This record gives sequence, C-alpha cells and structure tokens, in this order.
Amino acid sequence: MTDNPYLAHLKPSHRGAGPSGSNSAALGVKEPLYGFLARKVKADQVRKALENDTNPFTKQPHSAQYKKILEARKKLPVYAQMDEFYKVFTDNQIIVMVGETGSGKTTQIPQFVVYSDLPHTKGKLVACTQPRRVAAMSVAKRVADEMDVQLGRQVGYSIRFEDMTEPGTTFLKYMTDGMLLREAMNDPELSRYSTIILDEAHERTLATDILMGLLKALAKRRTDLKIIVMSATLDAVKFQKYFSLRSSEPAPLFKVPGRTFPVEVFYTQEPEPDYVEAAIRTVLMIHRAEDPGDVLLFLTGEEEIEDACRKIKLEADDLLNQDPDAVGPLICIPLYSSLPPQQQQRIFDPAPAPRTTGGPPGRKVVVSTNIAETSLTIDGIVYVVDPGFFKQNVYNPRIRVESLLVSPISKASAQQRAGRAGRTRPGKCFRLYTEKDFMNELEEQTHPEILRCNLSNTVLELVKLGVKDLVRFDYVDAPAPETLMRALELLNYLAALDDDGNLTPLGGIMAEFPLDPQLAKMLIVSPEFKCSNEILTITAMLSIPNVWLRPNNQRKEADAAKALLSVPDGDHLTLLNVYNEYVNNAHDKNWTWTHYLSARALAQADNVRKQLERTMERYEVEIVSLPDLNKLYSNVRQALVCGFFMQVAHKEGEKGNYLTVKDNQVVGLHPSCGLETQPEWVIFNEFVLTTRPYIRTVSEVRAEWLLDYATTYFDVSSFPDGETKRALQRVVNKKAGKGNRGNEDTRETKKRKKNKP
Amino acid sequence: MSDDEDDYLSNLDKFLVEPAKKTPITYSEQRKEAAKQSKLKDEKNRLKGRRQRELESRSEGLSKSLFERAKEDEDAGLASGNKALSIMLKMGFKPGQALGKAEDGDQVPPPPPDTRETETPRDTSSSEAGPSRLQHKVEPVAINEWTGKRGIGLGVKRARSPTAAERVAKMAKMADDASHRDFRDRAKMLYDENRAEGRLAPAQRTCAILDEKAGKAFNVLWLNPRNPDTFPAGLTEALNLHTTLEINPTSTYERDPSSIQARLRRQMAADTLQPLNTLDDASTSTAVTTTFSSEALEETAHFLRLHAPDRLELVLAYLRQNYAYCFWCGTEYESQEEMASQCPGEDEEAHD
Repeated sequence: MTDNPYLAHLKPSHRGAGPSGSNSAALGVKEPLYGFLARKVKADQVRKALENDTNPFTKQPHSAQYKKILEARKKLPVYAQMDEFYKVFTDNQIIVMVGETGSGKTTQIPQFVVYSDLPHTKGKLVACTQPRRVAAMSVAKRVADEMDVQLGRQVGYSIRFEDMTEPGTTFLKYMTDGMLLREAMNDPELSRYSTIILDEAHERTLATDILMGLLKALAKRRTDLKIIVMSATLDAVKFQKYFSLRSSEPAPLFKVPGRTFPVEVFYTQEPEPDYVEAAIRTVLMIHRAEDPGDVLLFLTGEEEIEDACRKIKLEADDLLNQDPDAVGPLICIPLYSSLPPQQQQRIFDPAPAPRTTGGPPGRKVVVSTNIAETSLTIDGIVYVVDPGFFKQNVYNPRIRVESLLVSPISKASAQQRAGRAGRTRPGKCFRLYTEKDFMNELEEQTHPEILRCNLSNTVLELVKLGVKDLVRFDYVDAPAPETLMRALELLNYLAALDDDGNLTPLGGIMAEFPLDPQLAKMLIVSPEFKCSNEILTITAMLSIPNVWLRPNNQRKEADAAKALLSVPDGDHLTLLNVYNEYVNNAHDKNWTWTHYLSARALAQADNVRKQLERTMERYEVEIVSLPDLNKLYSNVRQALVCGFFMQVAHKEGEKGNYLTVKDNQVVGLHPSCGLETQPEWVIFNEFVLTTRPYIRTVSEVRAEWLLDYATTYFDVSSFPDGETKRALQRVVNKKAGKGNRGNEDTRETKKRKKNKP
Repeated sequence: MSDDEDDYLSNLDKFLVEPAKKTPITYSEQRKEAAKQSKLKDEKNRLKGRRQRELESRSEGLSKSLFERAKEDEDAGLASGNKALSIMLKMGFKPGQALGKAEDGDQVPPPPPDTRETETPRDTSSSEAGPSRLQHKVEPVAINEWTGKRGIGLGVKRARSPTAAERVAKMAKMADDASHRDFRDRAKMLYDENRAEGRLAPAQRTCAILDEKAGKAFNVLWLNPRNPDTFPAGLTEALNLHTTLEINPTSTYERDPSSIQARLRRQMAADTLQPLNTLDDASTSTAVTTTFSSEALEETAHFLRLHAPDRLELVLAYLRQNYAYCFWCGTEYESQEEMASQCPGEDEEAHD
C-alpha cells in the first residue's frame, strides 16, 4: 500500500499502513508507543500500550479477538513477571532464561523484546530460533494472532525451503536454528538483528550449539546485540557459565516458574524382563484402578507403538465386556513423527464418554515416542508410564555409520517425562525400572546432538562463515576429534576445502545449497554429465522423508506397486522415475494413493526442487538433460559418483554381502532396495545400523567411474591388501591395457574453470 | 606268462585299491581327519555366520580410533590421500586431546573456584573436574546396542559385575545348600569336587590374566588353596586375623607356624591399631590391615569355604559376565550378544 499524500502533515508514524481515512477512527488516538525509548522501556508503558485500542505496528484498531487473546496472555506466568524481565533485559547484554513448558516464554518473551527494541523503527529484526520446523511455523502463527497482524508481514517465519517473511516489514521472525546459522554464513555479524533469542536451548540441537558458540564471540564485537538463551531448568547453570562475559560472573538468570503440579513417582521392585509387556500391563492397571485422567506411555518407535496400541485396545475391550460397571471405555492413540498431521491431531481428541450416563468415565491413552517429551504438550495427562527407553541417532565416525538404536534415557529425560503428568492436576509417573537402576544405570543428560551426528555440513558452514580454527572453537560441548576429522576428510575429497583447510571457490558455492556437501557437489557437477535436471530431482527426493507407504495390512500390494515403479539399475533412478510419474499424473488425484506413495512427501519434493532450482540459477548451474534414456541413466549414475564416491561398497562372495570401501564393514542391502541383481560395485546414500547394518538407497556403479572421478580416493596404492584392492587393481590393469588414462585431469580443470565466483 | 601277467595285474589292482581303503585306519590319521573335518565345518560356519561377521567387522572398526588407523596406514607405507589429519594439526590439534577452547586455549585464569562451586552444586558432582571449565570428549559417543525388550537394569550393555555384598550373599547360600546335601551324595560329591578342582586352576589362571589386562590388582576369584602362589603377600595372615577361617594355602601344614597364642597376639596387635615392635611379625599385620578391606577379607573367607564346584561356577560366571569369556568354548567373545548366539550354553554338558 502506498502512502496517502493527504496525510503528509501528520507525524510519520501515523501515516503508516491501512486504507486511509474513514474507517480508521483510531488515527485520532494518541500514538500507542509515544514516549517509548528503545531499550529503556518499562513494563508499565508496555502494559498501557497493550491495552491501547490501536495496534502500534499496523496503526489499525485492534480486533475483538485481540482483546480476548490478551486476557488469556495476562494469565501466563511470564506476563506476571514483565517488570522483572524489562529490568534484566535493559541492564544486560546476555540473559539466560529458564521457564518450563507452559510458562508462555516462547510466545511472550519475543513480543516483550519487540516493545523494548522497537526494531520496526530502525529496520532491524528480532529473531527467535526453534529446533523444529513445525514449532517455528505454529508459534509464528500464534504470535501473529496475538499481535493482531497478518502472518508473513510484521511477524513471519523462516524454515528450510520456506520463507514466510516480508523484507522491510517483518520485524519479528521465528526461524529454525539451522536457518539462522545459514544466514550467519553470509552475514557473520548478523547485522540485521537487534536481539536474538535461542529458544529450547536445553534440547541442544547441533545448530543451537553452534549458534551459541558464534553468538558468544559475536557479543564481544557487537555490543548493541542482545542475546537471550531460553531453556528448561536443567542446563541453565551450564549456559550461565558459558555465557559469562567477564570470566568471573555467570550470565544473569531470569526465571519463570512453570504451572505444574506435583507428580508422585513410582518405581518397580525388580527390573522388567520385557518393558513393552510391562508397559501394557501398567496401562491396564491404571485403567482399572486409578481415578479418571489420561495416560501417556512412552515407547520407542512406530512398530512398537502400533503393536502396543493394538494390544492395549484388545485387553481394554475385554475388561469392558467382563465388567462394564467398573471399567470405562478406552481409546488408544499412537503418536510418532512419521504419522500424517491429521492423525497426529487425534491426540487432542477428548477421552471417550462413559457408555451409560453415570457409568465409569472413559480414558484416553496416548502411546508416543519421545516427541511428547518436550515438543508436544497434551493437556489432560495425569498418568505417565515410562519404560525408560528411546531411539537415539548416533553417528560413529570410525565406521561412518548412522545408528538408530534403542537406548536407555537419561535422568534429565526421565524427569521431563514425569513432569508431563503434572500439567493439569497432581499426577503419577510409573517408572518401569527400579530406583537403584534410575540412580546407577541412567546417564545424567542426554548427549547433545553435536556429539552424535555427522558434522560435514556444519563444518562447511563454519568455514564459509569465517571460523578458521575449528579445533579451538569455543564449543559448549566439543565434538569428538574424529568426527571433525571425518568432516574435513569428506570436504577435502570433495574439493570444498584445500589441503590447508581453506574454502575453495567450489566449496563456497556448495555451502550456498541447503544440502549435504555430497548432494551439493553432485548437483554442481551434474551439467557436465548433461543430466542436471535429473540430478536436481534426485537431490530433492533425497531431501524429503520416505515417499513409500507400506500399511501393515497391505504390504504385498504396496510392494507390488513399488516394483512397478522400480528401475533395476538403482534406487536413485527409481526415485527419479517416481517423481517424473508423479508429475505426469498430476491431474489424477488418486495416483499417489493407488501407488502407495505419500502425496505429502511428493508435494514437499516438488517444493524443494523449486527452491533448489532457484539456487542453481543464482549460481549459474545450468539445467540440462538428454533425450536418450539409456545414456541419461548412465550419466546420472556417473554424476552420483562425483558426490558419493566415499560411500561405495564392494560385493564380497556370493551371499549378497557387501564390504564398505576403506572401512571394511560387512553390510547388507536394505530390504527396501530395488536392485534386481547384486552388482559388484554399488554407491549408497546411507549406511545405517538398525537391527542389522544396512546400506540404503543403493545404485550400481562401474569401477572405471570410481577410478576416473575419484582418482585420489581410489588410489589403489592406498588400499590395504584384500579383495577390494585386488578388484580395483584388475580394473586398473585393464584400463592401462587399453591405454585409456589421464582423462581425470581434464575433468579436474574443467571443474575449476566453472567455479569462478 | 599270461597267467603271471594276469596275476600281476590283478594283484596290482588289489594293491592300488586296497591301500586307499586302508589309509584312515591308524589312530593319528583318524584324529587328523577329524580335525580337518571340524576345521572345514568351522570355516563353513564362519561363512554362514554373516551376522557374526557383521559384528566382528563392526567391533573391530569401532575399537580403533582414526588416529590409530592413520598411524597404522603410515607405518604400513600406504600412501594415504587423507589430508584431514594434517589440516587439524595445522589448526593446532594434538592427538589425544579434546577439541574446544577449554583446555589450554583458555588464557584467562580460572576464577576462584569457591564462588563457582557454591553456585553450581549440581555440576560439580558430575562433569566438572579440575580447574578447566569443561571436560570435552576425546572419544566418539559409543553405539549403544540394547538387546531385545529387556527393561532397564537387565541390559547387557551396562551390565556390571555384582557388588561384593551380592556375591557374599550368593556364596553364603551356596555354602548353606552344600551342608544340607544328603549323605548318599557324598561319593559323587567327592568325584565332582576332584574334577572341579582340576578345572578350577586353569579357569582361575584365565581369570587372573583377563583381570590383570583389565587393570585389576586383586580378585577373590583367583585364590586357590592348593596353590599358595595365588595368594598375595599378607592375605593369609589377614584372613587368619580377621576371620574365623582357618586358611592354609598349601597342600601341607608345615609352613603354618601360627599357634593359637601367636594368633591371639597378632589379633591384639591389630586391635590396638599401632605397631607393637616387640611382636615378631607385627609389621606385616599392620601392613595387611591397610591393604585388604574387611569386605574383601569377608568375601575371601566366604569364597574359600565353598566347595570346588561352587567356586568353579562363580569363576566361570564371572568370566562370562565380565569378559564374555566361555571357559568351555575356550573363547573370549566380542560381546555378550555374540556369546549368547555363539556359545551353546553355560555349563559343561551343553558343550558336548
């Protein structure tokens, strides 16, 4: 909307937005932020401004909904401590804030900061980071409503592959921590921001950990930048110490009590021989003997959860039939992250009504992974059943495996779980282990992600950001040296870093893609193979969750549908084929359904593809293709080699065993793999350890390609004696016989030429 | 002539055929053949046991750090194209050290520890040690392989040896059971006892070797009354002093000089808790009281009171639990899981 020239005589702040004149009676009202001095704002002033009829940011009169929400906001524990907050905020550069879930910190604190920073008057932003995409989106929506503005204008969000902000207008931005890290890559001073709030810092995601390191250093350079680290109680002291600006004084703490009720904790007398069975028993015991109130049971994964739900339902129905006067009806709702959103919503359904009026009340049982531990709050939970396990992702640099295995939880986690029972009234937590084992067997804290994950992406970002010394970087918790070594190794082989650890021009471009370095490299070189169009699709398909649906009762049908779409040469080509078919059948709404594919994931792939296409255009990576399908498929696999040559396995014996190159791990093809034969050399997207070691998303490659496109990595003289070395040597000999050497040098120079800035 | 020839040929035939049938007749040949067969079978099993090979390659890969591997490659003269380590060294990394600013990169002298300690009672207990602010990790987080659906406290991964108290209780129960055994079983018991004694010595030697490798200086389970060398210096005296057990770790009684009077004197010496120089071996007994805790002594006494089969059982159980070592297989497995899948069972019968 353009300025109304007839209002030019008014103060600039009154000219603002909005349809001019007649309907905005509020224009006559005093400017709501009159007398506000940035960073010297008092709580009284803010409370008054909040009660004002005019929205200080849009200059529109507040809607009726605003008033209603404001009343609710006033009941939040954070709201009651507004005076204290402004005092601490005004006096300090860095604050550690502690507040339990439900205190309102995520929604209110950023708004408080806005009223103090007045970022809209200076062209700055306030950022609030979230570990999860969904949280960033939903909280931004909520806060936009609270502030009575449209989402995506004054208040917006930014997550990978989706930017919902309006440059110049947005002054409060919720974003994933990863996005802020990416922004820091191109603006290490983060000069757009007046205050940065790191929310859920206790979750210790990789990006939050790195951001803490960066912000600690940045705070010394930019004294005008304020930082708030928000956390659940547990790690506050650690953060306070870490952020002490003068080494003797810890960062000040601002504490908000949660709204929680006491929770009584029960332990078992003996260790349980089968925790799932014990959990089911406990749930039914609660259903039979405890007062009304919903139950939350923590299990580890989809299969376990679905299985437990079935069993609980069966047993509860039996109870109901046997004794309808004593036992009420029960619903059992599963919850895990791969569940479609509308099914996740079911956890908010109310407990079933009693079968007869005045009969025993119904009960809701939610069986969840640890996502219900912190990220989701379910009201009405009074009983928590905690077997003490969760699935944890652990990357091991020694054999470069990603393991997703069941592990015991930490004490901190156990406390968090118990706390879930006390949200609405005093609750009970049943721990399916002994008190002694709680004390002795459980670790204090869950390992932060930085200790458990592959760092290649982060290292590239940090180097791009200008962090030269990764060894002495001020980590909150330093990763294992070997993990850093693996990351440097990969980036060096991909030519993103030179032998001194400096960023190469190619590495600079790779960092601009929000992708793993292997994918970025493959995408950038793909025009040389005339298949960048296809590689772009494959990259998008590898960046989204699993597209294949395999419902329990229709596994055969799903597998048959998948076989129809499979390309025998490799799973990467199958993914390409699926996407192309999806686009060709866009008119048919039922296509995904009849082919057992996730429409949601494919739509996401489409979106990711568009975003990546834009990045490619920006860095002049051509989008090209070939008409000859055979040649195209071969070229696609060659391009794959250029990115993933460090993820190659060699067939060993006739049993379908593979040996990963260099690490010599005995692995199998994942059951989802669609290869028809067992080729001698394969390239894989992931090496995972679940029930067994598997390589997943696998394509056949030729040894010649490995030698041509990854000459140093496949330097035969660097291999220890063994089957793999002999196989490579045979290929080298054959090639030498043909006198066909030395084309890798030309390719190398071609690459270099392309990568001028 | 023709007859001769015929005869000769037929003889030759016989001569050629028969020895082939006769060959495996001698005992040593049979044994060799059996050994070969079993070796072949083992090889086959090895090929078959993909799961085992997965486990083996994994535990081997996980046990060796990348720095060790880099060093081995270098020593083996393999031209490694890996520059990562040299990049890290250029950044100031020293192998064996953790990353992060904390250790020596922290130029600022640490603040007076007292104030900090009082502010942070939670942290001092767990991760904080020494003046450096944070103890960063040197090793990657271990992959935690939990088996099956067993609850916390029953996991293989963190299973620890039972505490001394639990072991003492178990031993007491065993001794109790033994005293209730029927008289008729005596003969069999005697036989068992002798057999177990025979097995005990090698089992205890294995135990001692594995324990020492693990850095244990003393373990009750090493003790064998038939072999005085298994008793560390001073233990016998300490036992005699502090327990009611009459222990004599020799096959004959000649080396025990202690009369009742001498023992009483030593007991007095220990009770006074100060060296009584007039007494002949006072110095050893005071040394003893400091080396062996009363718990250890009590445990020792309990152990030595047991019958040989019970002692053997304890030693073998300990080996299985702590080192995944099966005495009957004679194999130290890589993990409990592997032992569970490879070893036929806990007792001797299962290994026939």
